[in-house]
Amino acid sequence: MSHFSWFYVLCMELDNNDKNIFIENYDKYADAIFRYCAFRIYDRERAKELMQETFTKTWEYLEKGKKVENMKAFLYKVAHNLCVNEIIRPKAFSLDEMREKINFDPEDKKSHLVENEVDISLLAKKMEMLQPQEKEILTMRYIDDLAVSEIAELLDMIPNSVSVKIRRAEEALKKLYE
Amino acid sequence: MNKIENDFNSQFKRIKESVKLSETEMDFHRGEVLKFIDQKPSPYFHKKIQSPFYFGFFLKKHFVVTSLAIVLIFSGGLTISADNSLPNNYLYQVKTKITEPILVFLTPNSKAKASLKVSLVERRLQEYSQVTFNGEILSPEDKTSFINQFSSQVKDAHQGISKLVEEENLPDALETTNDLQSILSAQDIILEKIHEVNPDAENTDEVILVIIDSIESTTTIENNITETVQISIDETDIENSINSQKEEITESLKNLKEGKQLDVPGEEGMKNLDVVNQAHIDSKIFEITISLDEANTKSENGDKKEALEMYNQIDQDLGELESLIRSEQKLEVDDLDKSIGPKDKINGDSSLPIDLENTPTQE
Repeated sequence: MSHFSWFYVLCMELDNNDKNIFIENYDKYADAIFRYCAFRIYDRERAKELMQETFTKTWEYLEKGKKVENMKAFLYKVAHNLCVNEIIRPKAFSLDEMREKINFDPEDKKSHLVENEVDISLLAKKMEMLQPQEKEILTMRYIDDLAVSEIAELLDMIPNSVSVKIRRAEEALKKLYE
Repeated sequence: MNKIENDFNSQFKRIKESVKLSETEMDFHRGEVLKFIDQKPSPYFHKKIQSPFYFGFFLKKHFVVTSLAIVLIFSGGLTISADNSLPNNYLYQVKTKITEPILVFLTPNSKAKASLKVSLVERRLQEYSQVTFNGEILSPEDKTSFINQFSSQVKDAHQGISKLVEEENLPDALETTNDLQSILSAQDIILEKIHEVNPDAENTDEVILVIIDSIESTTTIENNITETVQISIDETDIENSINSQKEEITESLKNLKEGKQLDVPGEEGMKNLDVVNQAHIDSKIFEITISLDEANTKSENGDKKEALEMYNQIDQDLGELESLIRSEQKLEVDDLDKSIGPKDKINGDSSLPIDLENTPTQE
């Protein structure tokens, strides 16, 4: 085999490794990225498209030879930017919209306790009454399950401020129950 | 208030679990992503491989810094002299701009780095106290340069703490913040005390103002960390922070009680600079022991948040006491001739190099 062929085989090998690593990341984060988009744009079909676009844009970025140190944070950042471009609805977290658009059903299939159903519906309604930033930060923390440091990176804030904002948002939510 | 407070996380979790991709959707989009990837070459094709024959290849940051360190180590005399220099000395810049940054760079982990940065803040203030205590006056340029250096060192320490917070190492972040806070307040006391003893000493107002600003900014950081620990969903965070505080408090109390600080200035030293003496230490230990019992009781009764705040305060009080003792030792108050005041000492022998790390033997 000529030197060129060896080089070609080596490149193909690296190419396959790249793909495998990237697809592993897809399997790991696709659902979370979809949820991130779904809770921001309230359109299930569009959220799926944005999730896919998040991954293709990330690949394009890597393809330019740029480095991504934290894939999870990077994917969220791309998804965040795509959602920001998409934002048409200032009003978020409407329970009815969620039922219609993203198939969210407060009735837990595993539990038929009416009390639980009421609790979740009530929580969603109360969330609707919060300030946009409070909603965003609570959604990131509790629904997207992001760590304080990850939220800070996404919102370009220092972790301490994020913690304080989470606490204030929680307090605002609790006040709505009083 | 209803059960939302207790069941906050679980209700969000159930909302979250209700919105997910089906297996078919997941597979379909994986296929689409794969199709897209197949059309694009691998990221590796675009990676540049650096030629080993390129000179810059060898000039990596580590290489440069290590070489510089080696040069400095072999030119030991300069480094040692610089290490002992004070803000009014021409070698002071070598210490603050070269040797110390290298030391920080070579320190391996975030915790050690943050602690070192805090120690450097203490060192800066001890140097300034030494100059003031000696009755020397800094030139306006030296003073401005010192204030800038000190402010940037405090910022560095804050960054070191932020790094620990980013790494979610909250117990160490809290401990380091408490140490910084203790050092700043102790040095504030020392500088004011020097002025009481020697009203003709260098005007320390500007430096004291910077210290007060630094105390305020450190307090904000401390409050944020404490809040973060208190609101943490993971209960182990608060538990770990309490344990870490307890450990440090126990160690400090043990050191003080066992008399490791026996060379604290005694009655004679008090004539010069009465910052701390054994009676003061005993009374402080007594107060701290009472507060510690109260904090332990709160912790045992499950009032972890309040207990954490109390442990923080105790840790800071102990830290302040330790910093006062360290600083007074460095000022060598008890080594002074009983018959001469600080000002006389300069007239007597101001040319002697001042060793901030090793107390010189009394002649």
